[in-house]
Amino acid sequence: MSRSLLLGLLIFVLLIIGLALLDGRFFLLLMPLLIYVGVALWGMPDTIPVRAYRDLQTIALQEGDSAAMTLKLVNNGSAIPVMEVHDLLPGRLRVAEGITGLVTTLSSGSAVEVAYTLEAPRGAYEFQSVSVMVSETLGLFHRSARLPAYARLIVMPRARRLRPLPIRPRRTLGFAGPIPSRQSGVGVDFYGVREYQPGDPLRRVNWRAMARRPDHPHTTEFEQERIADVGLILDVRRQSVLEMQGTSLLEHGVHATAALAESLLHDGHRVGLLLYGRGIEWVFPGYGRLQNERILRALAGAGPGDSQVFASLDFFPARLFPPRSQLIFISPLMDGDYQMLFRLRVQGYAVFVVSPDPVSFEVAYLRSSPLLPLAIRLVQLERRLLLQQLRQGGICCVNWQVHQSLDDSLHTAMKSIWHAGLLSGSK
Amino acid sequence: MKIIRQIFLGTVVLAVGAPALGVALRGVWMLTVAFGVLGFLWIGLSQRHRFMGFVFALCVAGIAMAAGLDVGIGWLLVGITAALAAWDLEAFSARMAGVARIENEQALVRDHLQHLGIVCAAGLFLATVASFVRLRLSFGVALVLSAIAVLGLGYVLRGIGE
Repeated sequence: MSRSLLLGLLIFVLLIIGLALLDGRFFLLLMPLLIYVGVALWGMPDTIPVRAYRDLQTIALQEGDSAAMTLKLVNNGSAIPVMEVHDLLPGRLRVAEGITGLVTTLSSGSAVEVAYTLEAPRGAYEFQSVSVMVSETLGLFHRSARLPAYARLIVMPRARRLRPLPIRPRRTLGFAGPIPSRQSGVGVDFYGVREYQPGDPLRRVNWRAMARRPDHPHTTEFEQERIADVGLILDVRRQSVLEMQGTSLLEHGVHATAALAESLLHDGHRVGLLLYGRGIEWVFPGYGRLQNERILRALAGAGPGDSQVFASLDFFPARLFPPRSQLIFISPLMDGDYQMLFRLRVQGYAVFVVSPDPVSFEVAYLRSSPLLPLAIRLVQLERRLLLQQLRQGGICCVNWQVHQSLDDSLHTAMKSIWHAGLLSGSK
Repeated sequence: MKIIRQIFLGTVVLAVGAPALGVALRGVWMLTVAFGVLGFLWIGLSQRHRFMGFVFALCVAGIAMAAGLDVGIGWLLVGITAALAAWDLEAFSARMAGVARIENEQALVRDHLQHLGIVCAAGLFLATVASFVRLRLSFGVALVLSAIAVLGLGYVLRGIGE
């Protein structure tokens, strides 16, 4: 029960008793209580003449980093006897240092600051308002309000460094990069030998071939190495997002996408991103660190989605993923996905699937039971069959056990894929 | 905050001591003991802030009972004023303890004690003065005044609820 209500009830009861007994002494007992209420009502501020200003040290940071927040409240009206401030933090944000609230008295024109340091897991957070409660000196009555003080904080996933990924799309771009382009030109890898043409530099003459046939000089050709367009497609469809005890498989997918983007951009490729399941949330292809930042920001806000736009990935714009480029699909994979991936393959894309294994992820959280091994075996068989189908259709798949390093999983899988010849892209 | 605690203990002693003395002078020992127990209860539960309203209400109820027993009004006025002050100070302590940071703590405490002191002094003074005033009202005037008081109080309560 609030203090004001209790006091009101006591006054009322004493008044009723006094009236019922026609005893003036009860009215005398009422007087201190009535004066207390009267003084409290008289001292109560009519409005909350306070404005709140929020200053966030940075608008984007990476997981594990912290950001300093300063909240300034300025009194533009008459003096406030008691003011209680509580900053309203969006969910999952954690205060690493400092405190988010205080009690103070605020004279006219003065200001007070609340400063603290924040940490948060990946996500996009919006600070909307700050809760302020003012009261008179006795604290019997108070007035509350939420003062607008907007700020936005983006916590980007921290990308782990990967070794270069040996992708082989059919189409490469015009700039030098790490992908052999199946064309002769400037490069370091031997490509072939052709007859000498006037103008060929002497240092490229193949002297061994000329030694055999002195009348027919030959020139050594090198294979051009180019960069490529790479489209990252992160599966955020709600039905494919698996959550166990507050941990989501999507987090692994997001971190894998961030690591792949960082690695591919570092190699010089042009990389774009589509959040599959969130409608038109995409990042058009681009190069360099700025693009990496754009992708990380898009990944910061990645969460489960139900959008049916691009439901089957059939009609996305060619500007997003140019034809015959490399697509990397990061998804735990669902039953019907192989048809969609085959269609992409038929359209000429080189498709590479990085699949965080939902079976091993879920098993780690399950209690043991007699039937569990059998159930695990069945779903593993089902999954193996799905991956087998994809590989038979010329799609490279990496079944990533999320408790292992992505880099190791990728390169172990790459070796076997390389031996099977799937990375030729045109196969 | 130590000063608040000391004043709180003093007001609790007054809140239960003065009515207990008044009741004892009337020879009602049961209620005297009850006030004594209430004093210990109040001090014992003073760190558990959710009971503060309950103990205050008990004290007011005891004082009202004492008023019904024709105890001297001076004892009761001192008691109810001190009880009000004790209840206020306990609520103030609870509020201060509930926040991690207090700016201008000295000014807050000083202002609060000043206001409370003025309220208690004014309440006690006016009630004492009023206790010497004798007015003879006709039944009609008394009825109208009662109606105004009840309606006014209802209005205040409604306002508080909102």
